[in-house]
Amino acid sequence: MTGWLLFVRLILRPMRREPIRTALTIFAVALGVGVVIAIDLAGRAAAGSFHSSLETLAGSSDLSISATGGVDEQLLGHLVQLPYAFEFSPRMEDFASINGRGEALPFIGIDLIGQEILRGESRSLPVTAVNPVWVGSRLGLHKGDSVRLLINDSIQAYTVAGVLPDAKNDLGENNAIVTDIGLAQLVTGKQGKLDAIDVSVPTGSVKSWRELLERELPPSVTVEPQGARTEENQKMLAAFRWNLRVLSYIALVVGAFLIYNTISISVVRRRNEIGIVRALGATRAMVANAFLAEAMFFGVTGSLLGLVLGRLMAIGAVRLIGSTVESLYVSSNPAPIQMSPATRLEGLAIGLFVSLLAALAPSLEASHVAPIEAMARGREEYMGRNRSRKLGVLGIAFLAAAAVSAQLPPVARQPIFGYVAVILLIAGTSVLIPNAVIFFAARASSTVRVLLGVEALLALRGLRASLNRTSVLTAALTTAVAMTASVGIMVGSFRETVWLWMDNQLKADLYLRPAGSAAADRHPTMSADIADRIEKLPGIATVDRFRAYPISYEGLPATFAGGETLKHEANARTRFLPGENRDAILRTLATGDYAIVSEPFANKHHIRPGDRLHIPLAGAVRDFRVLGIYYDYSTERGYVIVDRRTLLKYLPDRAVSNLAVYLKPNVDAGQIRREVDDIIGGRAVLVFSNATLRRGAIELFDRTFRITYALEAVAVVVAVMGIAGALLAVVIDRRRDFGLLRFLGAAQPQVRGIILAEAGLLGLLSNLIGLLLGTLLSLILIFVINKQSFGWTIQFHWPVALLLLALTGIYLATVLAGLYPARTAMRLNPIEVVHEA
Amino acid sequence: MPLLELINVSKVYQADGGPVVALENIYFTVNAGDFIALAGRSGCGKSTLLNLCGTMDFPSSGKLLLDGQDTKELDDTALTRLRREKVGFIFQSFQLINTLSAVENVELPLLLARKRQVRAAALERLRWVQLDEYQDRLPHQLSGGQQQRVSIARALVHDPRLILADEPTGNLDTATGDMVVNLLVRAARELNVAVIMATHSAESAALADRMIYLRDGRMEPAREPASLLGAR
Repeated sequence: MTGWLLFVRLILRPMRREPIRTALTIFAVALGVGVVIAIDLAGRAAAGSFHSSLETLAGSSDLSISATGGVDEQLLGHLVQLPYAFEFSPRMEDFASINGRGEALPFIGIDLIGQEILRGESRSLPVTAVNPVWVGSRLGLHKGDSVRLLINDSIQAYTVAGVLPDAKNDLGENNAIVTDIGLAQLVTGKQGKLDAIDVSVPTGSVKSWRELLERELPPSVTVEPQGARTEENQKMLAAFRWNLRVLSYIALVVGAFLIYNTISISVVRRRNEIGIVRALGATRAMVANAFLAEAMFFGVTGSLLGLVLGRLMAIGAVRLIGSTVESLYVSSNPAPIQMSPATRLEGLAIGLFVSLLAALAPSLEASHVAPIEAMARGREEYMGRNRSRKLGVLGIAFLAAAAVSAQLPPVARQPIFGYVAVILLIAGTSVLIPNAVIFFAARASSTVRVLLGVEALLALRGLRASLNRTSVLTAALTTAVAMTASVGIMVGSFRETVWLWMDNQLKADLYLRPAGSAAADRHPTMSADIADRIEKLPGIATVDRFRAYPISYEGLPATFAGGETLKHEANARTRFLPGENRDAILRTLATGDYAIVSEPFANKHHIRPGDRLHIPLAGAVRDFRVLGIYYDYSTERGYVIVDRRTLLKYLPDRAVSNLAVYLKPNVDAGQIRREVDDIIGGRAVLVFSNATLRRGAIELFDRTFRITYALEAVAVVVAVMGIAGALLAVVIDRRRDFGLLRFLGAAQPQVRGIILAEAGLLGLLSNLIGLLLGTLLSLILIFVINKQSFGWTIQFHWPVALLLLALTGIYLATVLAGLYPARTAMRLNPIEVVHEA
Repeated sequence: MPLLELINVSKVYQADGGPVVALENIYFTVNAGDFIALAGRSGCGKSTLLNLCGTMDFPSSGKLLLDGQDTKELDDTALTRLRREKVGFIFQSFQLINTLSAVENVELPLLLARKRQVRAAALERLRWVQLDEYQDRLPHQLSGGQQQRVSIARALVHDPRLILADEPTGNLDTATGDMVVNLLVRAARELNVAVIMATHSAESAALADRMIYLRDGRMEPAREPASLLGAR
């Protein structure tokens, strides 16, 4: 009861007198929690739906049989003759889009007679229907409708034979298109092949049934537990989601600085009252609890608001994350965003934990205020103890530890020590900030006065005087600036690296690919005759055919592909890791079972030149000797590239995924383009010029990192809100000085100028330190975290324009944050405030 | 022309319980070099009157002319300019800015008035109050008397014509208080500055040329400053 009274009288009542500052702190927590929840919800929605739509449609099965390039359907005949009570469900899976536009929809071929779920519908199948399909309810189609579907390079008309029953959880099946397996084989160009055979095993150990099936099947065929691919995809996405999650915590960390600051101010302002209540018998615990209760108040109200914000922000985030997952990793079919009770609890717990943790130090400090000391000192400006020397030593120790940590290897493929280095670097810089403020205030005094006038001088002295408060805020804004700068540098470096890579890699004049929906694991094909006919055109120097297949390698998804390597290298220039002999590699590659692998693949599987890859293909497990590791930035899945002749030896399907066309010098490009269009005829094939392809790639790249920038922006907004709140506190605490200045001849705009100058100096200091810290962080991001998470080599590059724009924006926002506090200062009644003790 | 002229000045504040009359029909003039004591009990309106004289507040009725200018007809900018040129303030609790050194506190009015080469003028005034050796000290490194002397130097640095001192000895011991009052007397005599000093101290008031005695916001009939000593 006493604790509650203390909380109400010592904390709540004064808080009500400063509604704007209270609201800013609550909103800062809300934004921090909101971003974490949004990323969590969106990440789960975007990455949680790798289940084959059919897995859900067809009910549960235990095992799945698959093979690179498809399972020979004759195997099914062999399997059904086995003397065991297996149930086999053959399946084809591809993607279609309605009229060639909009989202990619799962296109599934199944044995209709065997599917319980469709039994009712199949009875009503009109005998005369052309290409009958069953559609998910989300597509809004009705029985009897005619629909044109684009699959690979062809658009055909289909008839809706029925609408699939709604699935409760809608993991993608409510927008699937299902058809008979025979039709699916025909339209996907995989006659005689099956994408998978799902198996329900009789009672007993699934593992022993799996072993039995493996013995019965050729070694090129894989038997995996159902859902294994989903697990593989989740594993592949772990680093991406982990990194995104870490980024989402930045706003919360910045929010924590603000909570610390708010509670510190609260303690300082109430030193007198603390002394009095301690003298009247309040225990230390009571005092500490009152301030922790203040933090709890901010934590709970902020988190509740954060849950609402998070749910709203997740809608935008899921779109951004989904598109990144799709282009870099695997087909994603975002599931609906679901806010479970566990998520709500998580949000509340995070907000509360961070708030209490941030408030712990000032609350304990409050509890150690001696009654006599506080009452004797009276109410005074918070100067804080001079701890700058100790903090300096601590800061340097943190920085040294960060440098050591950055050198350590990953733990379970996660750059744990990289993150530790980031945290230590931020912590080290934060504790060095009081020294930086002292240094800045001492050195810049006269320059500031001469250049910016007396207002700036007073502002600078104000910063120095309230060191504990200003250094915490500078640390908060510095962290936000540094993260923005570091991510900006990393993304800018990555962009530049990709640009240079494209310069070497993309040399063809025209690029062709099927209009069918593509993704990192989806390689729609076009008819081989397109390439053959284009190659014969008189103005064509050469064409380079490329065919890709999704595979699983050592439990992780990858891409196995074949290209006409010599033709490619005659025109483009693949870059290999330092020390590798490019010419020798390329000469050997076309001569047999050799492969080159992309850098992410090599890093993930610890492959070195000379190693052997064991890939199940065409009835046996084939060995490919790795000749070299090349730089590749197209997908994080990782590539294994063989020469096209080697590929066709094992997978003799001549259809191509991509085609690069090189023109002879001085030919009429327009004429060639018209001839190419003639060859394509009515087929759905997209033709890109070199420039268009590059532009598209860079647009995709920029889209990929949009969410990163959004997360940084939220952190900056939180920090700027903190500045606004702190400046309001400055106005209240130094109102006597502002009143006095009016007596000494200061005009109202001059008083406003002091607060704006203080905001400007805070912004300037934070930007300077933030840029320095951001550069160091970017080195860790590029050379440690990125390398250990994704395996990409990125060349360091300063995105000057981007940094200038971002830092100017942050600086202006900081100054603008001072406007309201400045106006408040300007409107103070000097007569009232000047005599306040 | 008198430096300061108050003609039937009244000040009424609106409070919760209705209007409160702080000053009523105040009428007096001040000339350059005058040293006037403003006496009366706490709450009688001394500070209000000083604020009006320093153009920090407006009369509710009547006229206040500072250096011939009717303050009611001036906007905030003009009033600020008038104040920064003509008036210097001294407070009971010194009111120095804690983050500025002694000399920086003194030069502040000049800086606020956008004057250049201010350091020499500030040092000159510090010398005048015999504190030039303490120019780099922060307020908390000075005694109460020294702080008040810095505050006097600050009030004089821009060569004002009127000094308004609100209980300048209230926080000081007698000896130090006497030294402070003597400095104000010297300012009036040597620098030809008019000084209006609110005080509770009979000894301080006795040094004034003239005394204005306030009771409940109204001026009492003129008294000789020395009469306060006798009355005690």
